[in-house]
Amino acid sequence: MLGINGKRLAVVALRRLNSTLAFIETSGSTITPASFATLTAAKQIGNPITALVVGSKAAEAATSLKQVSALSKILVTADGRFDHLLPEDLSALVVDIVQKDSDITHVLTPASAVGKNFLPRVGALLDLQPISDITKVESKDTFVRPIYAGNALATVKSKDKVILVSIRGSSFAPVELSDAQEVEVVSVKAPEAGNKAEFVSEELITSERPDLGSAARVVSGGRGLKSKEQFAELIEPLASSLNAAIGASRAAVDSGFCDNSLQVGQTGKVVAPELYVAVGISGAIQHLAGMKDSKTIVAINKDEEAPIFSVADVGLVGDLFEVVPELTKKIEDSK
Amino acid sequence: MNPKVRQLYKDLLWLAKNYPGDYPKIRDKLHDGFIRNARVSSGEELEKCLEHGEFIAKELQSLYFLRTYRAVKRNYYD
Repeated sequence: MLGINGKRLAVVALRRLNSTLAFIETSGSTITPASFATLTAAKQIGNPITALVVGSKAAEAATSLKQVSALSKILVTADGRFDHLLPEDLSALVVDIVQKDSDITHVLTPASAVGKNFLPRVGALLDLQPISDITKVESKDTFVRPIYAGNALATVKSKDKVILVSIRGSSFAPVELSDAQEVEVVSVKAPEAGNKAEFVSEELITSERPDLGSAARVVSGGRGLKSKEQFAELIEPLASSLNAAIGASRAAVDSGFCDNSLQVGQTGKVVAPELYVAVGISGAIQHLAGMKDSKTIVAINKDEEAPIFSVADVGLVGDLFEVVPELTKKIEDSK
Repeated sequence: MNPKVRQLYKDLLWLAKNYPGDYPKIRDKLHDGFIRNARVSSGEELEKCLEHGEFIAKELQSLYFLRTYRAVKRNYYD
């Protein structure tokens, strides 16, 4: 009898122990949209969620995190070393937290540049297999992730004790915010990482536009725009009138029309907006792979035989130097 | 005619039927492309041309796959 009771107790205790560590990416004190999507995924897993915020302004970010109702704990590492989210420091911190807290069964991060950078390091240090860029949570240990550039979906089940997962931001809705609640905030001291890399400088493209990865509308330009000036002249007003993010095809990026952070496609960002407007893009399959989940695809191209028209919902054949300004004007007029 | 070339032409012609736009026009274009390389009969150059043709065939297949994917998604999931 005692034995049975003992077993039951053990099971109950084990159940209580499960918890999910969600890494919250911040820029300054603002939380990135992909991090809110990560919290949605964390909620779907169902364990109590511990959020981790780092950087010198982490305390402010933690305050705004209290609006997320599902959190059970917030870990704050208010250390200036983490301001630029160097993966060497970050992976050491996450490893330290996971090793000290045996309750943690899941580690989640947005599949952003930062998440993609530190999660494999954590996997290597803890001898675990990270599951990257998931689009769906099937159960606590089973996830769906795209493979072969999104042409197939793999359902993966992990047997690891601690499951490392990165979340594709465009596949999960952002977590709902409510009034600020009382959540336990714990300060965590970062371990000495022996980091030999040092942050020197960064060149950021500042933009008031919505973030490309999670925008509801995206206007993309391709090689058909012919020059950097014309890219700016035609795409930007159209994007402004639609309140859309700007994207580009690889051809446009390689020709130097715009920054490579705007690249949509297999090697660039994967987007899934409500509306995707492709201007002067012929539609190489690698580009199409990056935007195939868009709800409505509008293509503007002068060549009526361009491959993009076979996947577009709405096509406009015409000289984009004439039709794009006209379109922009009509949208502005109808406002 | 090399049987591989003939097969490639047939394959592309079959794939072209689903391409958006005017089928006779695309067929003529395909024909032109083959005529342009008619003097290529053997050796490395032929291999290169065949490889290019197969590349186009694969691109078309993935394009159609994508179109099917979107249609299925729209009809069953959205």
